[in-house]
Amino acid sequence: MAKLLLINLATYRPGVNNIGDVVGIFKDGHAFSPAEIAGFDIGDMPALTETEIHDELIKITPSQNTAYRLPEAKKWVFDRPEEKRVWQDQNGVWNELATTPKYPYCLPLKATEIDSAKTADKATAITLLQGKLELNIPKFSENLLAIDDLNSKVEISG
Amino acid sequence: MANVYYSVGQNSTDHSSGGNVSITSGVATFDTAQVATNLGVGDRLTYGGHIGYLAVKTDTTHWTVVTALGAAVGDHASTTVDSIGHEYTSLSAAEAGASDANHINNTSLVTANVILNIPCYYDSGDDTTVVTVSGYTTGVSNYIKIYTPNNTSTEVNQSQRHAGKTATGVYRRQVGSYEQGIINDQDYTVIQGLIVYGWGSHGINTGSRDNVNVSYNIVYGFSASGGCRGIHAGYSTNVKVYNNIVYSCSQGIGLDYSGTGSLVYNNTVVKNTYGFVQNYGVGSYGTLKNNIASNTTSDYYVTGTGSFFSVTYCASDDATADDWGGAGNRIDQTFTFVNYAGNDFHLASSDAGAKDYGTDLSSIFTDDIDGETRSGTWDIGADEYVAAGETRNLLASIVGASTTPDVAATIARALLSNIGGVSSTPDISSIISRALLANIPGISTTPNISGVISRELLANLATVSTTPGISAAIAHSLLATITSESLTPNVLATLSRSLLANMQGISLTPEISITIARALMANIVAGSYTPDITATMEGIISLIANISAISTTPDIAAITARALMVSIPAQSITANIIASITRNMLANITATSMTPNITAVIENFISLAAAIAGVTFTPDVVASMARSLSSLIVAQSLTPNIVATTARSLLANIQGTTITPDDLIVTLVILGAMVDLNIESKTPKRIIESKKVKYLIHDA
Repeated sequence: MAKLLLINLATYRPGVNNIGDVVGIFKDGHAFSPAEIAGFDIGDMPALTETEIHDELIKITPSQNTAYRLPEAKKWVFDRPEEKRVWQDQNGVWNELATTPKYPYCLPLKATEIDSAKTADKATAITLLQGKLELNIPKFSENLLAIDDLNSKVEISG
Repeated sequence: MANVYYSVGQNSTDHSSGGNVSITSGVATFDTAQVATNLGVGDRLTYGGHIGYLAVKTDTTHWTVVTALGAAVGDHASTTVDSIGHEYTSLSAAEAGASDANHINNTSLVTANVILNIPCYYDSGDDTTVVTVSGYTTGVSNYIKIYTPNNTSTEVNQSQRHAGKTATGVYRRQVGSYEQGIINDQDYTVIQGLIVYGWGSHGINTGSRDNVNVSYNIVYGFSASGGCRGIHAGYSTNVKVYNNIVYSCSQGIGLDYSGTGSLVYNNTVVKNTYGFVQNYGVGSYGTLKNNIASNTTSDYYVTGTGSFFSVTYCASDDATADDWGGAGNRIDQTFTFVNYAGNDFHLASSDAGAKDYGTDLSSIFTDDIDGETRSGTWDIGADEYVAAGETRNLLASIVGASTTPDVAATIARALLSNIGGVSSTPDISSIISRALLANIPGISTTPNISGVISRELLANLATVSTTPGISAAIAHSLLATITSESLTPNVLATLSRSLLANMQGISLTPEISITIARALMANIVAGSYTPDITATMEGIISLIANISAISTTPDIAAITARALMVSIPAQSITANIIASITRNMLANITATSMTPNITAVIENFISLAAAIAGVTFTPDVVASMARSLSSLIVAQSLTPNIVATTARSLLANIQGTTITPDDLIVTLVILGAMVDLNIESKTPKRIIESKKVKYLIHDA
């Protein structure tokens, strides 16, 4: 019982967003304006609630954190530690989060999939979501730089 | 440079009032006033296959209308208004859609040479979508403004902005867990007049962008973790953060490397874990003036060895406001707010911590979070204490901020108990009533609000004072105000209806009802009504309709009717109006058991009949008729049914539009004949010679 507002060709801005980016999630029965109908794709998934869609988004949402690099261990200094935002990919690797995408998620549905979503039962709709839902963070190459210090494994000696 | 406007609500439902529209030189003229409260700048007007956007309001029948690119729309002959509705149903959709081919058709506002205005409205519920503002090319003259329209003269029918404290019924951005309210990743933006709340990470985040204006906002609840900030200004220069209220956050307003050009002025930051925070502990960032921080772990706080660039004329309830030196800072202060527990952080009149301790910043802005002009020595914080503002805030509470009857009643009772307790002189009552009603236009001109306030005022008549004198004074003042405020007939009618509805709803004693009715009638008589006289008379009809509905006691009906009759001769009213009034009056009479009071009613009725017929009866003749009728009722012990039948007969004559003077006179004469058949000696010759009279007399 929810609808997704998705970027389509009319609102696609190269370098800013991608077709299928999730602009908003709305309750079933929400009436979009003529400007929205003209400018976006509307993923109508009556079999799913807003909460169920959010649950699927959370499943692919990576951990994020702030990492600090100390100038020299156990010494007082005036310079503030260097810091980076980082995110953890599905393999557990911490990478630099150099660019935060405008929209965190993308659901690039084809026209046929948009049509079928309208009549899909819950299981089919979730399968569709899980198969098509993309995380936007890894689409930026600068976000794929692993931070070795954070990923170093502890050697356990005999 | 052109202004483009695309409105945001929670729906795009047609909220036009119908009718036709014609357009000349970019100005739309509606033949039907467009009065929806949530109608305003940025709404899409569709007409005759065309689309325009409301841009500047002149009044409810005239709006300047522009195209999607901000140019004047072409002239158009009168055609049906197809619809008026919001352009988008969420702020995130507006941000994403404004650059598409149906709108600016460009991501560069500089190239398109426009200012992108996104006014936000309340229809129902909150806006729950995450908003990131980014991807546009902007400049000093080509910026993005996200705001709630609040000017009821030029922007909107009813302000969509809060009244300086959180409220329902205005645009609000509700933020989910760990989300951010508005992420600004864009230079040259203005975020103004919003309520942003929720258990998220940051409320309004200016990112690392420059030349951002964050003002007049209420932000609260951002405490998902220790680093959450109500307003976050990071890595930015020339950020202006002023006239905001921030509460219940981990950090109120956080600055990260914000340069010296970041101006943090006149904010009220209360009930946060930390108040104003310079987070990076190195260097000097942020220019703070006229801010209040209160009830935190540390009101003004920096990490490491950093500092604020400057802190002046700021106040705290701990000892931190002057930790960085600077003039005018006040530490260990006690601030007195209007309702601290209820999160209303307007300064109370008794405040001694912030009132009149600020410095003049009029080169940046001149008003406070309520839009009230700052004057004299500025106050510290988002609110400038203004005595008149207190009244407005009270009324805002009644009308919008709180819809619970209890709160409204409490405030109204306080106001009215003041009238009763401090002074019962009509002058004081009048002043207060006028002040109350004078505020109505400032808050809203819609009839509904007038009605709401009137209801509250009248509701108090029952509980605060039962003395007729005070009740009458208030009612009189209300009506006096109506005439002086040149309200439209619609408002007058609404108010009248509210007054009477109130009589019905609050179990007023008959004495109070009578007093109010008398005051109303007295006002009608005394008022020098001109073109509005018809509306006034319509109001009288409503009054009568209500009286008959709410009371079956003859006394009230008779007293009111008498008052009406007294007023009628003074007015140059038409026969139709008299007929309408009489219809209502007699309907009431027939429903009641007659008492001697009815005699007076009928006497006046005869005067009415004379007026309708245009007969030049001398007073003696009229009196004679009246005596006859009176004696008929009093002396002949006629049953009520016969009297009612007679009255109905009279009424039937009056209602007939083709009735001639003679017909009416004949009826009266016949009635007289029932008492005294020797009418020839008492009746003018002209009447007696009438064929119909002769026939009737003979028949009798």
